[in-house]
Amino acid sequence: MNVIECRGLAKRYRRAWALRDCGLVIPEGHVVALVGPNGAGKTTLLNLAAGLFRPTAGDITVLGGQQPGSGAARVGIGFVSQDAPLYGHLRAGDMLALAGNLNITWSHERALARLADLRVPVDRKVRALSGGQRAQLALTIALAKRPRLLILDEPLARLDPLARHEFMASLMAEVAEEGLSVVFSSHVVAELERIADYLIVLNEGRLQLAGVVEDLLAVHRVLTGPENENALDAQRIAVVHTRKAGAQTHLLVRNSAPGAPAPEGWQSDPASLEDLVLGYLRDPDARMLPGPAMAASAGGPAVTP
Amino acid sequence: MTIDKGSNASPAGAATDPAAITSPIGFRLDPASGVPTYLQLVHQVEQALRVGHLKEGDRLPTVKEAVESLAINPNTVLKAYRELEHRGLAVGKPGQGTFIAGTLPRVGLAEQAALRKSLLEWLRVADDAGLDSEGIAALFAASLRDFLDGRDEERARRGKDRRATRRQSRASRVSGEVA
Amino acid sequence: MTAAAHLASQNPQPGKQAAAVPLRQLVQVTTRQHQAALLWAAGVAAVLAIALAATGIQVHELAARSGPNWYGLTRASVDYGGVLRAFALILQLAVLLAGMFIGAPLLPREIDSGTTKLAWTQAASRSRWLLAQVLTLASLLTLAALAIGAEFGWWLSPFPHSTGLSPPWPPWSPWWQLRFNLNPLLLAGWVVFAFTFGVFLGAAIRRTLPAMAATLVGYGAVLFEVSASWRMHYLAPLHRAVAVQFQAGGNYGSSFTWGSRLPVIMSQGLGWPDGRLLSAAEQQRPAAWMRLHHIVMWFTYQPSSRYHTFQAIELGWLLAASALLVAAAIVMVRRRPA
Repeated sequence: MNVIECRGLAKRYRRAWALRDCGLVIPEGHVVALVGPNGAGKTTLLNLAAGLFRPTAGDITVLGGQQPGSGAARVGIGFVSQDAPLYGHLRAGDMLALAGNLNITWSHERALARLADLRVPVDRKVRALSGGQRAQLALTIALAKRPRLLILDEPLARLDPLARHEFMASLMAEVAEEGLSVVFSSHVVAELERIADYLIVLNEGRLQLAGVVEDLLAVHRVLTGPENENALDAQRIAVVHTRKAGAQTHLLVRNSAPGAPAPEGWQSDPASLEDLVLGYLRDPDARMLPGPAMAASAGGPAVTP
Repeated sequence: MTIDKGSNASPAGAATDPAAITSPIGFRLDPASGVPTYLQLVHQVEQALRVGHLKEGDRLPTVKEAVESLAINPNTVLKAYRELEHRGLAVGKPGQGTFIAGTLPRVGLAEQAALRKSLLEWLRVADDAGLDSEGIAALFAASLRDFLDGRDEERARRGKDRRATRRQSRASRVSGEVA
Repeated sequence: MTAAAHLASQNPQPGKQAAAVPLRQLVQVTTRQHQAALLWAAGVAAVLAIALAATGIQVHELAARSGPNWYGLTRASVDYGGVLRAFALILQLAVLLAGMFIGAPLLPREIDSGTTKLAWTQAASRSRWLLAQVLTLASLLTLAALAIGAEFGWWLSPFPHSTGLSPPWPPWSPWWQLRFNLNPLLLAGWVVFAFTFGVFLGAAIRRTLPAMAATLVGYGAVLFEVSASWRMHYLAPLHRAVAVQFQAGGNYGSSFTWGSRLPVIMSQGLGWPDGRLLSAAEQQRPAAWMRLHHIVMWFTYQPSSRYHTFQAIELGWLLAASALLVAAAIVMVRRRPA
């Protein structure tokens, strides 16, 4: 089952296009990181998947062909919007109970136990909770309905490092226990490598990169070498991004043959997730999109100058 | 890596594990090391075995325990445990966890002495060539990495080939039966 | 296959075809979410009730002491007519405020604070959610209106029941514009209308203050128009010609009486037997001319027997309009983004 599937998905607000020509097939069982700078269209994509508004063009389905916002989709998806909106004037326990009344499948006892573990006081008003506690409460509500897919929009944005660690740790524990799929957006790349096993890069409303992290990292390398990189044109190596630093040039490349040795005079290192994301973001025209076969094969569609 | 005899037991762990065996080790990550996370876990287990903190029959942390303390993807832990099974060091018992099943191959003292001798030889050559101590360390680290990657890929390819031949033989058996 | 996917396939999601969330649960959502607003409304209603009770007891005692003509006898000391006017005005205002402060902000507040992104991604559909909110709040407002309306009816009982012939009617006349809709059922109808009007405008405008302002203006306009003119036309008015004796000097009189139940006179004027009214010039004609042409006094009126019919008609269209407004709000909520 594919948790999110879209084709030619586009969304326009008044004059500006927030999302253009987006095509994705995200299989279940992954922790998906949706990465891109502010204004890239991440929130738009997630809100479309959650069924909060309709696309301008293209189509999108969730949980194996359901319409976003339909009854089955709303039951199977737990959604936490940016800034974790909650009813501030209610106590945390009442907020949980209210959310429970909006659902049919609901694990109230487990949710209360989770809040207790995380030391979120149920008697305090939501507006008096810290940012980390609010985020955990919102996540607890989303998890209590036992969803198949969890969609989180910038869940870590307002959290201090300890709260971030606690949030991700508890989330990963849920993934380990329940086997749910997670799609979360972030504009911070540094912490993704430990958590995400599927990556989507959005930039200026367009899709740049999508695939399983392991496979993506296997076909990309960082070449370090002399300033003149023209010698590489002869070999079938697609250069994603070039960075010059003094007398050195660093290239993020995509190989057609992953096991091939580095070209003469160049040092080849494996690419980290950060290299990958930053390289593509710095070159907005670079693309590596999954082909119709959906296997992250080496050397996808032709790319950069 | 933290050694922790006994205080790793969480109430949830005790409830799910009837024998209430606690895992003797807890994992640690070095995000800046450049080594893939799953390999770091594998190496920590091997190091614990080498030093003697882990013995045959000890339980490794459950996926949930490891993930809760490290905040990493559960698949990474699974990949590490699969690799340990592959290397013959661990075995997974469904419903109970993953346990240490084997030992690291002990390298004999004579063999160690011979290895040390050839290493010193190599170091003399490198020194004559003009490499300083940092250059030697960098060269060694890169070569070790390449070697390990190559060895892991070789193993993975061998595994794939093994599975492919198994599938083929099954298929031919089936078609043989049908025919 | 990842272990996560393996686990996922082993935990079948219950209720793949989403069953509807029971209305009872959604009612609890409403009361819990709006507990503050409901407490405020209850407080206002309590204050009103106490004020009515306190003054009402005075009125009743006075009437008991002074007998049936107590109003005429005691007007000088306290102007109870003025008190009645004041209460009627306050009640009309309370209905308007219910629409402005409970109905109008209902949707915009959630849209502004982003909580629609929480509420509309749960198992309950937007339609059921909104319908439950509207029904719950409207029911509570109805109960309050029925209670206050009944209490006001008790408050009015010592006052004279006569109806003046034509507007402006005295404040105790059942036809008086500001009192006509204060009978319990009709008061409930107007409160529900004000509330649903507010909800509709909130759904259309989606910003709190503009929606409240629009409710103030819109509901105010409707109330004014209905009270001032529409109400008198629920059924076609009757016409009656009354013989008039003309005397010299432009005076005229009639021996006709309406009987015990005075009608509500909408307009009257001298006119020809066939129904046409006299022009301004013709009204200056001398008595002889009037008698020659058999000029009569034409009355356009609503008989007082139609009082309850008119109340029923008003309640009917108020409830129908409320239902339409709620339906329109639901349609808008389904169509538009969170």
